[in-house]
Amino acid sequence: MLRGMIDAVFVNPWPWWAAGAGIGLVVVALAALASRPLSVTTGLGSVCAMASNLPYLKRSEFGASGRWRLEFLAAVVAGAALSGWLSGGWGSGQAMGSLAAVLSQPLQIAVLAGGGVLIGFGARMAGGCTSGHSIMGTSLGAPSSFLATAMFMLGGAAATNALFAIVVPS
Amino acid sequence: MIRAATLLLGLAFGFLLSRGRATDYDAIAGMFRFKDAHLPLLMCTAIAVAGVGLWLLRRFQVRALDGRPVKLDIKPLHAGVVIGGLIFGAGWGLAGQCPGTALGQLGEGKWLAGVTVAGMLVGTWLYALLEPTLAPLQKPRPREPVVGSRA
Repeated sequence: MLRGMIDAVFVNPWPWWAAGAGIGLVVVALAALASRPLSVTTGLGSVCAMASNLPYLKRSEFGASGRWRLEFLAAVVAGAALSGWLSGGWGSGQAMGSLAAVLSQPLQIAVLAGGGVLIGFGARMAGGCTSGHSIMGTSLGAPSSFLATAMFMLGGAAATNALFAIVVPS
Repeated sequence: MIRAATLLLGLAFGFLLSRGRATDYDAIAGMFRFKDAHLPLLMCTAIAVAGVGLWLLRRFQVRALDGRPVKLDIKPLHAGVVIGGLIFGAGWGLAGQCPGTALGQLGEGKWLAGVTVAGMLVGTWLYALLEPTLAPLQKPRPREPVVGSRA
């Protein structure tokens, strides 16, 4: 009984409604306790601001008032590490899932690097990512965030289907 | 206190992304290939719960731990949302990760996710480099001119 509960929470993947509700509650708690939005990519700007003097990176959200995001991002990494470690699979998964068996490692690196650059660039241009727009912004009812989410999905569907058409032998 | 709460919630967010299989490449590819509704359902649940919760915070004018009223800004609407959104989506589809879940993958010890995260930082920097040229895309849409008042 207890073992089953521990497995359900810490070892097995959660059903969509449980993980979804949990993430929704994280958003509400972050707002209620800290008056802070769920935010990931603005924190990447703060990281860049530590290494670069470009004028765009001098904006306040990347400066001292945004410093909390760096700690938040570190905590996200730690939380996922906890999850991976407890389910006994730390370091065992592949970043590209089952495509890892189809693509050589240099190709995986190329796809991930290219994808990463598009993610970083597009997020700054759109003003947010899946966290800031698609979860936080939509929850606030922002028209810009619903539009951004539709565009994210459109771009993602196009790129994924193109990638699979190219690399997966039919 | 605020710092501790933020850290704890970051920890919870990373844990939930991982438990919810948002860090699983195949779950994301399945969503974009219209074969797996797990993540769309997860996201819709998160938005519904957060939407109700944030509405309640506004309704009861909740104050944060430091006593200041909770204040969250809505992101502006401009052409960059469309173009940047499509670019972001393409990256999400290729890497099979969004920024938060790439960090989650890194935490799970999927070491190639480090490449994704490095790419995201380069992309952010690249935008900062080109921002003087791209700034017009982020101008908010002009409001309807007020022609006259009916009063």
